[in-house]
Amino acid sequence: MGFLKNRFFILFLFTLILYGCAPSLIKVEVRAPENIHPMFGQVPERLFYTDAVVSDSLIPIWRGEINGGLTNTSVTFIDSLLFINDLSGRVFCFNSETGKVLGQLKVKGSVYTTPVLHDYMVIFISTEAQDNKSTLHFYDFSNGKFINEILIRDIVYTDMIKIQDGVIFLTESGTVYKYNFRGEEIFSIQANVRTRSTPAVNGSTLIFGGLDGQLVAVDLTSKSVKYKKQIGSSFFSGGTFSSEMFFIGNDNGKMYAVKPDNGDIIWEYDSGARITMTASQSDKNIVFGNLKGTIYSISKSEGVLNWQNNTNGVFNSPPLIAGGRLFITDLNRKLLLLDYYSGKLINEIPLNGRGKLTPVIFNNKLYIGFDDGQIQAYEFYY
Amino acid sequence: MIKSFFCFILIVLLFQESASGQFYFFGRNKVQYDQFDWKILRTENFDIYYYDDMGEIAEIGGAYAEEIYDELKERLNHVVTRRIPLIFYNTSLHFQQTNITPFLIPESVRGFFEFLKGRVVIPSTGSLKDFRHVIRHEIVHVFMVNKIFRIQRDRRLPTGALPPLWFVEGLAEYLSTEIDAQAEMVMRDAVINNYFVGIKEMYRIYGTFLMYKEGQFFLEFVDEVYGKDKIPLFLDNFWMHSDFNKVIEYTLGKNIDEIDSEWSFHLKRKYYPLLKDNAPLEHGAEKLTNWGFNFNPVHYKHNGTDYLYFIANRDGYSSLYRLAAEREGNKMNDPELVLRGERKEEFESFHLFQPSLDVSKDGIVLFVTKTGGTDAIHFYSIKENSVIHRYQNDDLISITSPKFSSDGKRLVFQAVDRKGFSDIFLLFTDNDSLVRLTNDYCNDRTPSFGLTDDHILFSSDRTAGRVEQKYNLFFIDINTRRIEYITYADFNHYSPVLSPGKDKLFFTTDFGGVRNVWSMEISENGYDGTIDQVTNFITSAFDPSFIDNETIAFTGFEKFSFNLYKLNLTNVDITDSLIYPPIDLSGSSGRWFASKLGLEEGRRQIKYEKEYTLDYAQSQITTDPIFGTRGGAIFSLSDLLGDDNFFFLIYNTADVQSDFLKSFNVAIQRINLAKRVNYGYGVFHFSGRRYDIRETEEFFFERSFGGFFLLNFPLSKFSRIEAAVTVANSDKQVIAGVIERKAMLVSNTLAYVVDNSLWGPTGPLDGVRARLLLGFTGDVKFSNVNYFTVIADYRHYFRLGFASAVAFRSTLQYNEGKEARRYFMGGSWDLRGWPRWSIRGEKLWLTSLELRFPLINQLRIKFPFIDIGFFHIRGAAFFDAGGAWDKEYRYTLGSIGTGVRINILNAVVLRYDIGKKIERDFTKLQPGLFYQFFFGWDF
Repeated sequence: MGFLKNRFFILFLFTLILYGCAPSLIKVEVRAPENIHPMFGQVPERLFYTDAVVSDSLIPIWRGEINGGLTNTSVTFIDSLLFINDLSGRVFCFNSETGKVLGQLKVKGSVYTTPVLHDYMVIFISTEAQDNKSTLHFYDFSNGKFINEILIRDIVYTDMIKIQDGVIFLTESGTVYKYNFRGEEIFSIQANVRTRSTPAVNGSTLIFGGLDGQLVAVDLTSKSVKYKKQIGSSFFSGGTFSSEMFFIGNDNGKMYAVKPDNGDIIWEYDSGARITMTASQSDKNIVFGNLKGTIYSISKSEGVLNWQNNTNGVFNSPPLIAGGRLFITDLNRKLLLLDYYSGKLINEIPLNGRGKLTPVIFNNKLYIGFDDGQIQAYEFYY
Repeated sequence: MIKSFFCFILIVLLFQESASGQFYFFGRNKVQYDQFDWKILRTENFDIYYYDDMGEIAEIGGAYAEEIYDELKERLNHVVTRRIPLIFYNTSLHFQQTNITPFLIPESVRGFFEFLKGRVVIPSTGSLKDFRHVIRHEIVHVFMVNKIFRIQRDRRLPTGALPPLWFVEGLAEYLSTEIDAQAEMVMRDAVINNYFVGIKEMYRIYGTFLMYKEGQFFLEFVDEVYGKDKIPLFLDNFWMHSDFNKVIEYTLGKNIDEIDSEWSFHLKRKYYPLLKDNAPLEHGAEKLTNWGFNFNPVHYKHNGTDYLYFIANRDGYSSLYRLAAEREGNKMNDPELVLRGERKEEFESFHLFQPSLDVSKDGIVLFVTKTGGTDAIHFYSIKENSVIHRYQNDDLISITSPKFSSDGKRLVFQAVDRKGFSDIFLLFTDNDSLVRLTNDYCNDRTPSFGLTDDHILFSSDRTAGRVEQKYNLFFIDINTRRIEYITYADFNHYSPVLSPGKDKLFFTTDFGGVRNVWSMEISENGYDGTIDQVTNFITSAFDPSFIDNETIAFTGFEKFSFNLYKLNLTNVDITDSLIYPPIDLSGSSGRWFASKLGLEEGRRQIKYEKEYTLDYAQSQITTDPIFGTRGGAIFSLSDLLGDDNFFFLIYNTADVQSDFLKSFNVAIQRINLAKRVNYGYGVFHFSGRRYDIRETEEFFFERSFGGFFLLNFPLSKFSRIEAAVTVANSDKQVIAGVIERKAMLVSNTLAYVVDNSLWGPTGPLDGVRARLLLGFTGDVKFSNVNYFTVIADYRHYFRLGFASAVAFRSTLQYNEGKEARRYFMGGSWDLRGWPRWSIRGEKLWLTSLELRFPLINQLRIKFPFIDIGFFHIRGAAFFDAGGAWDKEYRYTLGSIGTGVRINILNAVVLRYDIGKKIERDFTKLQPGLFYQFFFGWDF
């Protein structure tokens, strides 16, 4: 068996070692960014809406794979760069046109949050839950250097919000932090409500749901808790703002529309099964799915059902509303395309794993993600 | 009665059967009494494997599976993306024949999830309610394992970890069923009798039914106090800590001591008030037994003495006993063994948790045992002290609750047929003619004769309408087959039996939380009188039977044990008894109908075709400075039902490149277990240096290749015949080019093996193990090798007490002829004190006598950071003698000594012996002492 001491065996071992030593670096040349999808839900209100023109036929153009699993977040873009986080503590950068991996950042813990993009900077939070700590990273991908890394003595499961002068995020124990883009803390507000609900911001109001069923509003101007209101069971879903309303789903199966000012319930709609996703919205309706696999379209003003469609799936990630269509990834290994107005199923694309990421349309291409860190890009066929 | 009780019971833990099957030196057999025609039912998420006439039960089971799948995807926010194989058997008896696990399945196991290939194996026991529960329970396991795998893998963490067993089983119970009378009984008993343990001490009840129920109750507590959303969070947070208690602490936001304290308080506040109005069994009735698991007492007066005949497991074997019902003084009477079970095929096992006993007025005891492939009803004459008749029917797989008519000429019983239907049957004893009284998937159970012998009373879940599927009492007219409701309530009723004067109907019901005995006055119109509570125990009472018109005997559960009790009805005064709600029979017609998948006939008939998938694979490459780089692999394949198995072994022993091709060691073996006659065959090529076990202690080079064929015919669970033929070409080089031997060896062996031993923690404690093998090995080409073989090995274990025994072994291993192989002994496994394998010869004898006794039952060491516990530490005192020789007998050797054995996690036994060798042809004791440490089970 001495034959095994040959070059192939050594090469194999060498390759194995090299693979495990992939550098933690993203360094790409970018001109002044013109086109950007900077955060989960695109805007601080978390609309999951785009006016892109789409078609009902999708052609896969590339598939990329990252190291760890995905959460129910989404990819973000800056020009032709796609950024995505994973649970093994990495942020990957792909060329969004070709699927080529341009680099990856490796940090300790898991990265639960969608990377936020600002100018040449990717901002993300890694969490070491066992040690009850997180790190807020500011990374300049044009220079390939970390600008700042700030230790947070808490866990961060939920997505950050980019606003004009910085980023806001919420920790598991219910503290709201704001940092500017240089990595300097602007403020922190302790709401003292444990949460896994992704917050949304409208103006100076940030709202999230607590694990104890409280709805919590924080005034970002006065840096104080505006109100806490017990309105349901645990909140695992995030919220979405319209001008006068805030929508959030609950573990008790109800979708609530509340007044952002005081938390009063305007209407509630009982879907009959747990809701863990943030609702998407257009001008008149919100759309959401539950863990029983039913998708609902509800009028924002009245809370009246427009349509529902039971797909036999399981929905965790918000659907994307685009061009009269609804794109939604299903844990039951599917990407569904529905008519936004009728709820009718138009196309069903099987996936090789559980659908995880919220679909994003960027530069006329659709991007989704599923099990085992698979990122799939599609082109629309007209 | 308590048909679905204990998945794991104390006695099963204490006395394990020699777990593996028939391909070992000893071991009990997993007999394939039936050949099943397997089919596949494909549902949306499941592949359901069923056989023969089970189609309807499979469709119902499929609907149950899809129902829980749909629930769990929401509750756990997860989907299992592979198709889940569900393998259904129509009875527990057929289930015990499954080859999906190589281990013998105890009667109390109601199903299992096999982690390797993700198979779920479940018997239908006649009760669709139980069937649904077990399907749900096992599918929760599938979801939980799959979800945790996903959670770990997403983070690139090791994927083999699981929560502790109490949580795994507790979660499966919590998500599959509600708190029923059985769970309530066990928890009441544990809390009130102070053996309830908190989360931190769950290891103390590891594997017991109590552990299942404590796990379930803990999650119910979390649901109630912290919210049901916390339950899936335990899984979502699993990856965070290797210590699951930390996961609980993180999820609930409190430390484990606080949580334990809260839970304990929660339970005490719930159960302690019961002491005000309910009585413990010991205080509410006269206790007749105080040890073991005792069930189903029936009364017969013999020679002026009132006896209770009953079934019990008091020493590891389930058997038929009798007991004088009247005490003499305060001392409890000792039960007398009537018939020993689990020793031979005729009484392969008594069904402890099912009613299976009755006695006629003229002294015929009916009892049910597993006998071969199905259950049989035995007629035991008290007067003749022997079994005088046996009734067995190939179509009735499982039988329970036989009851005589008043004239003793008929008997009625419950049986599960090949379709998996549990129905009521009537047997005429004079000619064994059988009449089927019900025929559907409703669970008709515990029948007995009513006011006339034309009426059969029974309990059934056939209840329709607003209390659908509850067990109510019914009667059927034998002549018209008309079934009428007696009760119609939203709780369960069992075991109806008339008083000797036929003025009252007694039964048990779980109204009030646990089972107690109630009675109904028989009016002129029949079964419509008032209903009163007879017993009001904190735990439960089962299977009442009458000693006389004023005294009942029954089985009661208390202090985690089933004992017999009797109660004088004239002393019953329950002022605080529950009020049975008025019986309203409106809406009580007909029976309920189960949901089915409703698939087309064609889809149901997909025939099972074998598809082989990998069971395990292991390879290894090592490099060392002396032997260079070596590698090998072993892997096995089997079909989904585990009937057909292939084993592959490959490794190479070449030292230099030129030897590479001729140094391959390859073995391929197929073992087929599908039929009663198991067979196997294979080919091999072995090449390399062999250790010469003759005197030289040197290596020689041998290359052999050939094939073999094995046959194995189990006569019963306890005995079998084995045959094997091996053909091998053998080239042996003791000194290359100088001493060589070529041979074409043909070896034939025939063996008879018996094993009915009962195992304790470190080895057998009762029963017999024996093996007689005859063989001949010859060189058919060169006549270089010709010898015959006799191996006779007899081991007998004489029980002295519950956990102590004297073990005797006598072994002769005899090869005679040209180039006969040598045997060897010495060491901790046989001739103790002597160097391991140092005594060698073509002939060998060995005898051992060993006293086995419990030394320390539990040893706990509390370190500041961890508690370590050792259980069942056993002692031994032994005497060994033996000798080995080739042509002429040389000398006798021996040893005496004592030792300690510790079972580590049921996987290995560590042994330490101290003693003196008996040397010089058995004439002189060794001057000092020998000390020997090794591992291995007792002989």
